[in-house]
Amino acid sequence: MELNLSSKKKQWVFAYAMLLPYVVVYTIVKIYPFFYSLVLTFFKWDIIQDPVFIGFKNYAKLLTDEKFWMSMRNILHFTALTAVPAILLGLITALIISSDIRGKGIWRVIFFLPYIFSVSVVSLLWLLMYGPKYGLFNMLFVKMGLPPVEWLTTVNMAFFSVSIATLWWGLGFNFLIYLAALQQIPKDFYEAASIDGARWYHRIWYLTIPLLKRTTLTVAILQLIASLKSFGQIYLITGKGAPGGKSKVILHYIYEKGFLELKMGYAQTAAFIFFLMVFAVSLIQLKISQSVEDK
Amino acid sequence: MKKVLATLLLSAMVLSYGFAEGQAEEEAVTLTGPVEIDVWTLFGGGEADAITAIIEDFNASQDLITAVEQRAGEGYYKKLITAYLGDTSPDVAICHLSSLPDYASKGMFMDITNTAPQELLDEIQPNILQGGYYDGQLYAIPLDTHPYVMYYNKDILAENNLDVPETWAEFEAAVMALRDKGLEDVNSYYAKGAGEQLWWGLYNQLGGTVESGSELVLDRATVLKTYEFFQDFRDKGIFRYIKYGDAEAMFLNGVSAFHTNGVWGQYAYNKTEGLNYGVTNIPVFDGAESATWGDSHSWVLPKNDDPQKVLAGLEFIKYVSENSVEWSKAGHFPVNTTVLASDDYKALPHKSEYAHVIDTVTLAPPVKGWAVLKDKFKDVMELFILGDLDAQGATDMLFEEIAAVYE
Amino acid sequence: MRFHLGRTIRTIIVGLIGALYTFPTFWMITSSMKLEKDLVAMKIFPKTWSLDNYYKIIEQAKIGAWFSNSMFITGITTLGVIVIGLMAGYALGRLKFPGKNIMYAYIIAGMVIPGEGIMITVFLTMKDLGLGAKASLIILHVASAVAVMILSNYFKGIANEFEEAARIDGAGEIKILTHIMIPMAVPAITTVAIVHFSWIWNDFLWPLIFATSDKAYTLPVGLSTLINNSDLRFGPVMAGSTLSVIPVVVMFLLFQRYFMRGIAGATLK
Repeated sequence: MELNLSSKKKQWVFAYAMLLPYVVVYTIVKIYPFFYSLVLTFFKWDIIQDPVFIGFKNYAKLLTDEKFWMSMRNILHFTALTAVPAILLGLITALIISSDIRGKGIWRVIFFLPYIFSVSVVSLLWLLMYGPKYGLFNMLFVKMGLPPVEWLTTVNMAFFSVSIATLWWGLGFNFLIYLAALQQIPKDFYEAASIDGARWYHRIWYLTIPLLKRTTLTVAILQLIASLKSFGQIYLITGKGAPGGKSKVILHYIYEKGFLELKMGYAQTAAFIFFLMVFAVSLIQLKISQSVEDK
Repeated sequence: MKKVLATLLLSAMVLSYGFAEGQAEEEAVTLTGPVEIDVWTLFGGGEADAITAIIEDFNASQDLITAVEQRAGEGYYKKLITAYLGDTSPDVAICHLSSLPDYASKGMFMDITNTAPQELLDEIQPNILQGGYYDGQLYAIPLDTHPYVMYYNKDILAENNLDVPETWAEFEAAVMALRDKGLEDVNSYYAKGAGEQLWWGLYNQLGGTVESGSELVLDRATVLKTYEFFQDFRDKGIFRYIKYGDAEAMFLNGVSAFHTNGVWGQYAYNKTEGLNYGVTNIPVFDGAESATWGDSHSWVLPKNDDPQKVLAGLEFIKYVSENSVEWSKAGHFPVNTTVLASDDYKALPHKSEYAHVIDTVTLAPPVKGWAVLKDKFKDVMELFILGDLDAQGATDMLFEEIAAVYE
Repeated sequence: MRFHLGRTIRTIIVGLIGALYTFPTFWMITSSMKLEKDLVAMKIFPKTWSLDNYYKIIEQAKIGAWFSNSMFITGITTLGVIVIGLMAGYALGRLKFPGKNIMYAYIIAGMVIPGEGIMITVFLTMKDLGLGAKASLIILHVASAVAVMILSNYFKGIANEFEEAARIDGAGEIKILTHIMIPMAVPAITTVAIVHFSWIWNDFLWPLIFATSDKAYTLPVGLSTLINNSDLRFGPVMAGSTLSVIPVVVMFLLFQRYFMRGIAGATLK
């Protein structure tokens, strides 16, 4: 059976038919519950008993909630530390592995492997390495005559330490995407360039990277959203927001308010505000990427 | 006259009807046939093995009731809540007594004041059983308690001719003496956890009170006094910032002379070769009564329409309680006084050493929100031990955090 | 001669970085074979190698059920992710139609919604739909915005010449899709497959909540019930996670082959 779509209308139909399965499931599983949650922001609900309507009270309270704003600042701090390095590391690793070296298959496995570990394992491993007295790093430092480092006892150090763990863990994802994108670049491009006498760094800067523009924009948006949604490893490595709860990020705040304090309506409100912020940022990023692409 | 007679007759009918109803309810107290009950537990590791063994024994010991266990670890309470929402609650479940007020107050559990077997309740350690009540009604039957205690390294004490300290003054003297001899890390404990688990015992020792009501209201003056004690020990270097894993490591490796932790630590310490340890209550202030923190794993019955299952569930709970000596091997205190007095129990390692601690257990007060409040206690202590706060600052922060929880 | 030396040097440097990078993984595996004492002492190699931790886990009667649950759910969901993601990604990546930008924004919006944030409403929605545990888990994950983003991006990058040549030959939409687009997108497809396989395999919260009995647990959830929370005996944890990771590694190695084939395919004219 062949489909020859001469008319534009048939093309649209085909396109929407292709999109349909995704959109249907996605709407049921994500969008509908999301609007349900939105409705909940106008209620007070402890999950167990019936919701009670309270109008905009949740929003009003949220505006003056210092803990909420702190957790928003924290996630921005963390994202600033991880987003760009994650993209760069993924790109650099992909470039290196794609270059002329032996054993590419092995390196691919090695640099991708940590990505498949679960968040609890990664967190435990790094927690043990960051231990103040019996942690691997400090024990090594002390053996070498260096002073031990306070990895997790201040907010700045805590975010720094968790960032390193996160970059180690998440490298595989960006790495694979860039690897796939690099395969798309025909080899003749490179051959032409080296015939012209270009050195490897010229090739990378003037040839490869511009060709990876579109991919980088995709990676960037995925990375940004992923960084903003970070929670598990921060929670586990800092021990629920150490020190003293000051490194709590927004998703942790939402989880705590909703499931521990059983203030679901309020938690949904915080989640919605967070959603608005991230959505706005993503749209801006989309706009930028579209204008860059059009060039 | 006719009217009076009619009224009397009517009243008699109503009364006899009510009486008959009561009779009918009393009669439905036996199991009429085989019954299956779902039991949810939140244990892992050795504890999980212990409880599973008891459940299997229960099933083997009689023919009518089959208990089907479902284990859930991390996320247990979320699962319990979503099950309630989805009408798939278990028949019997474990619940920490510190979390009981939150769920009982919202109607998730059955009121078993009148249905729980009195002979079982009579056997349960009173100061723990009391935690199963909320608002005057019974919702939970305790299985165990796991208090905060003090471990000590017998070898280190013997080598240095020290007795086991019973008061904080003696404790300080012992720590200083050992420090003078060049020992480091004399006292190991999980600093952040101590914010709840050590602090609570000391607050009570100093006479701290909790106002009745569903919100936590502490006595500010005693709170300050408690933090001032911590500050004294912190400044003297007796209480330092130590993480849980490091604290256990220090004690396991024979580095620390003293180690305060929950009774659950024993499960690992018993398996460590070369560790000659003892366990007793935490030190007490001069002139104060001994008190320490403890929580309790207890059984609750989520709302259930089937009286047969309720009955079966209560039978199950009774059996486990009577056989809780097996459970205690995982490290916890059984709360069945008959078991506590039994020879089997007393023969287990170390149990006799700290048997007295159970009488001093002060459970979390019957207030809502303890699950999140305890994190606040810990947050404050973490900042405090790190030196970011002094006693007054810690007191202020604690009260602020508590208030924020109840907003 | 110089050329080969360069390659060897580069390989060695990469090797050193790789060794450092792998260290934590390596430590996890050696830790899983240590006895209690060595774990606590933070030694790198066990004094006595022991598979005790593994025996303890494998003895667990239900581990077979957990493993097959995980394989079934993860396998079917990953397949679904690929099929649905391919279709949607192709539409967004190569087809022209009105409302394309709105669609993009709609899909990105979903990526932003925090899953933990709407957990309860999602749960209630699934309950109202009356789906069983396995069906709920599959439907929950099968529409992946990330898959769509990756695939649409990749499709966009496929040079137009291939498609034009095929159209000239008289190929219709479906033939273009199946004979040109999909084969050329193999690297991206395998990336999507691997990534989703490990995400869904490792998913912890949802299988716990939907499971009606602990036989219905997936492997990570089941393993977690074997570990005691109150004592930090990480030997069993390391063993459990090593076990749990093996199937995903196997999948990755399998998919790697397709990845390689994809490279070859991309240069075919």
